This record gives sequence, C-alpha cells and structure tokens, in this order.
Amino acid sequence: MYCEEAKGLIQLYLDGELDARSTFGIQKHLESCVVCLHLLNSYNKQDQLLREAAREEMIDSSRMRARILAATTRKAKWYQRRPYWLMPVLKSTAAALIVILALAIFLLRGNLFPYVNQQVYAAAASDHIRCVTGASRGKSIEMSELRGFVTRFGKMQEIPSLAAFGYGTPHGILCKIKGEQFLHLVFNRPEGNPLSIYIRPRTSELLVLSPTSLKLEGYRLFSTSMAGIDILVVSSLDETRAPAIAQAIAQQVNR
Amino acid sequence: MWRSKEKQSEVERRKLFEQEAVCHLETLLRTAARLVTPSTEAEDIVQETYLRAWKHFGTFETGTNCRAWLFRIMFNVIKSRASRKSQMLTDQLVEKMEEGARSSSNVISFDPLKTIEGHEMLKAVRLLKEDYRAVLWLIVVDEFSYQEAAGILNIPVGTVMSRLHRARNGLRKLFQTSAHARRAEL
Repeated sequence: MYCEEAKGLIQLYLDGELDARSTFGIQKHLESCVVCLHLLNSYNKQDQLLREAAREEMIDSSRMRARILAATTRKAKWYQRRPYWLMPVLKSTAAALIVILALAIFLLRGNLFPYVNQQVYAAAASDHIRCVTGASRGKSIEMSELRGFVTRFGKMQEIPSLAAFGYGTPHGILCKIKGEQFLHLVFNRPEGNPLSIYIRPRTSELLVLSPTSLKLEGYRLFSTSMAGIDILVVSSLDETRAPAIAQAIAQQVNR
Repeated sequence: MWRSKEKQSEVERRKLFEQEAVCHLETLLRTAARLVTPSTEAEDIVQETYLRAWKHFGTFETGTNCRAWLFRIMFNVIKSRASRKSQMLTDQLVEKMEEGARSSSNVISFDPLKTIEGHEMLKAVRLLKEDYRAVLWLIVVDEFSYQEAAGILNIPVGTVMSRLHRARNGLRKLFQTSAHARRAEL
C-alpha cells in the first residue's frame, strides 16, 4: 500500500470502520512509514483530547431529569386514557351508521323531502301558463309525429285520450323544465281552462316518486309515476279530477 | 377495571422509558450544548427531544439502539429550530480560518507544542462548521459508528466520512496556523 492510499484510509482505520483486508494492509504500511504513522498519531491524540475535554465537563442533569419525569407523569387527556378497544368500536359504529344513513337516503330519496323540488312544480305551472297563452318556449310537434313521441316519452301505444273527462285531442310540445326534457300534451275543452300533461321517462328524482298533489300559482298540480314514467298534471283549480286524470294516463303506459 | 389495567400499563411504560431513554440524558445534554448556538438553548432542545420520544415511545422497539434513536430525534429538533443567522456567522468564521487568517480574533492563540487545555480544544471545535462539528462529535465523543451517525443525521455514509475528514483536518489546520503565527511573533 502506498502513502496516498494509506492517508485516505487512516481515519477509517482509527474509527474501526475498515474491513479485515484493508486493516491488515494499512497496518503493514504503518510498520514502515513514519509519515503516515505520525499522521495517525496526531489524529488519535486530537480525538483523545476532545473526548477527555468533553467528558470532563460537568453536566448537572438532575433538574432536567426531574422536568422530564414530571412531564411524562402528567395526567393524560381523556382520549389518551381511553381503553384500547374503544377506538375500534367507535370506528365500526361510525362506519355502520354511515352505511345505514346512505341506504336510507337511497331508499327514501323520493319521499324523504317531498316538497324539496317544489321549484319543479312551479316551473311546470309557469310553462303551462306560457303554453296556454301562446307564449310557449317549447318546440311544437306535428300531429303526424306525436304518436312516436308518446311512445318514446310515455311508453304508450296510442296518444292518450281524456275524452271521458270532456277533453279533446291534445297537441304536443317538447319543452324543458329544470333542464329535463318533457313531452307536454295540452288538452282543451269547450269550457276553456286547458289542462297540461307532462310526461317523461323517470331518469332522475326531479318529481316526487309517490302521488303528490299541490296547489301553486292558482293551479292544481298532481304528479305520479308508473312503470318508470313520470306523469304531471297541471290544471285549473276547478279541475278536481286531476288524480283520476293522472291515473287514466298512467293506465295507458305499457308495463 | 380497565382503568386500573390502563394505569398499570402506563406505569410500566414510564418505568421502561426511564430505564431505556432517560439514562442517556447527560450524553444528549453534552452534545446539544456543544452543537447548538447559543448553548443555553440546549436544555430546551433536550427537553423537547424527550417529550417527542415519550410521545412516540410506542414505536420504539425495546432492545434496539435507544441512544441512536434519541440522537436522531434530537437532531431533528435542532434542525427544526436552527437559526440561519447563527449558521451564517459560524460559516464566516470557518472561511477565515480556512484562508489561514492570522487575526487573533478568529484563531485560537495557543501553541500546539504545549499541552492543549480541554477548554481550548472545545473552543476550537466551536469554530468548525456546524455540519462538520456534528459529525465529529457523534463519531469521536459519542462513539457512534459511521452508519449510526448517518442514520441520526439522515445523510449518506459517504457524507459522514467526508465531513469527519474535513472536521479533523480543520482542527489540525487551526492548531498549525496558530503555531505558525506564534513562531512568527517570536
């Protein structure tokens, strides 16, 4: 081993970090090299002096020890003193409650807040007013095409008839209520006071699932759902047969 | 009933903590006092070290190197509380030392031919750059291995070796520079 290599290894040798082969090599070198031996000795002496100086320092740790022991014996907060089994039980209970809540919301979604979508009914009433006053924003449907729309939106074979209630053949409009497209059938009768039927496949919770009756803005509204088809009847207040009319429409839906 | 069992395990835990960890208090205090500027902060640092150690004592595996674990926590505390200003001052002193400045304000004025006093040695170590000082202290005074020191400081083993090399050579140069200055005066 040459001096250049030995000098690079002297500190590792001093610290006992060399493997057996390198240790043997450097020991052999030091037997014959005064310069490297002197370097090793100076490092060694320097280290010894530092070690002795450090250890000679008087360190009063008694006060520190008392502080540390006091800090570790302080009463823990209640959640730190909890029994080991408490947290797993609490977590399981919380998880179960969340699952039950989610299930309840899913199952009751239509009925939980029956009037939460009152805006939809109000929008329908407003649309009905626009249609009957000739200010409809929707797209009129040609009579020749109406049957196709009735099938598509209401799963019905024929254009629904309300002749039994004294209403004539409807005309159809495609309209949007709260972003959802409806088939709007407007039925007229000789006495006036047209009636609107809004039909669409049930693809969202826009209308309440169960039969719902409302009075809004001077109109009577009745909604129901049958075989995946939402049906909403908007009529004047004097039309008390709205539930029956909705039922008549619903019966024409193919199941 | 579970409260008395809980209390019992708490007592046992504290007892184990005293046996395994608190016994290293003096070593930690000594090292902190030498590495931290100002040294009066050492007690705060060691106290915070032990509080963190107590909090995480559950993660410590009995039988493993508790001393190294405590040192690792302490160096993390030091790092998080490090003062940039004091670091810059120390670096400036080291730069002057490495240039071989003869100014007696920055160089320990003692003759290496004489027996070096302990406090002079400690004063010389104080002049080293903080990173070098830390490695030198851990290896030489606290007698950690290179691997342990690397774990404590969270640096590679190679960096430990190079910093130690520079620290030892830095001290040697410091003594030699002083000796030359003295000879010149004579």
